[in-house]
Amino acid sequence: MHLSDQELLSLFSNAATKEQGYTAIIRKYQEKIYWHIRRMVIDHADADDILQNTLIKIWKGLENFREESQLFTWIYRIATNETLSFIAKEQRRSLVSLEQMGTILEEKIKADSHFNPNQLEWKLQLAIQKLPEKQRLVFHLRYYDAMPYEEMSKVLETSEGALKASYHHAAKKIEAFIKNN
Amino acid sequence: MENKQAILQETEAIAPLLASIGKTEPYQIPEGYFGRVPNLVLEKLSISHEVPLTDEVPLTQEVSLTQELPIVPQTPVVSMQFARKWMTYAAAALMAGILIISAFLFSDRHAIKNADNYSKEEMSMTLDQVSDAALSNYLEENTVATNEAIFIEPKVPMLPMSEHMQTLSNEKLDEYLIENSHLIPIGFEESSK
Repeated sequence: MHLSDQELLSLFSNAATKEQGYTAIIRKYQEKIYWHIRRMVIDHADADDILQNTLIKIWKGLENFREESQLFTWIYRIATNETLSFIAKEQRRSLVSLEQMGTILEEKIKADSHFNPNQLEWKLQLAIQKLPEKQRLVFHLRYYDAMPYEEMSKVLETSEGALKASYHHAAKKIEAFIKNN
Repeated sequence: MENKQAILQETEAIAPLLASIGKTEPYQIPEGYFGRVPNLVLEKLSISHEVPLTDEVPLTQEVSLTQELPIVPQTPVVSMQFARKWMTYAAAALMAGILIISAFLFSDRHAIKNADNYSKEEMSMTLDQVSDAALSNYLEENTVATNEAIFIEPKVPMLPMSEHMQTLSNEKLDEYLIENSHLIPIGFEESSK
């Protein structure tokens, strides 16, 4: 059973229990953050790098963390920014457009040793890569993480209405792709 | 706050097929990965806080990232240039010497060879220009002379061979033959005596 965010923050703020509090925060949120990152970059090694960078940034920023927002929302925002920075860097390095990045990610999915084109879960993954980057993020947070629009608007700094529209568009496109493929 | 059930109903209304797909991740992760992450991150954090090894700083000391690192005095660098320069100059001098000597040797030989060729060419060209009559006149006027006579009195014409032979004593002839026995062809030794 995990401690509440409040208990974790108080452990971290005490010099004697700082490391213990930090380790407990990692244990509580690492899986959710990892999957949030992994769905966006597909490759495990990339996701691992981004996760570790995110956790290091959490360590460095946690002292200045103001409890105006939830710890969970704040951590998701750091992970999202790290992921988007990584994708932008990859895009610059490979000299490809955002659309071409989607194709690269599709190829990564197909290269997975467990990939099965007839399985619905894999079809869903291919369909998600057809979405624009922002829609992809919204879909992941809503569909897999069951994140309410209110909280999502804090993570992505976008209005709830825009997020709702974005999710609807994404879900319809995915439905159509799965039906046609 | 929306709950999971409300989110599922929303998805079912927009995309029923999508809502029916299980939310299990199809991707694989290495076994025990999440158990290792906290230690990996703590290790990275401790490495980034450690100071490079120096005499002044203990091995386990931790410093903040903003703290200035101690300045380590640099070891003076000993120049190896003098020995290398000396070797370079010696090699250059040796090469120059070889080149100069070779140039003298080869250029002289060439010149001498050319000089011989030129003199032969000039002589043959000059003789070509002299008429046959002039040449026969020259040879008649300058009949063969004995070596002694030529050296003593170069202007005295040489005697004909028959007369010249008669003037020689037998002793001198024998002496000549003994001295020049190597010039007599094999098989003629007896007849020449």
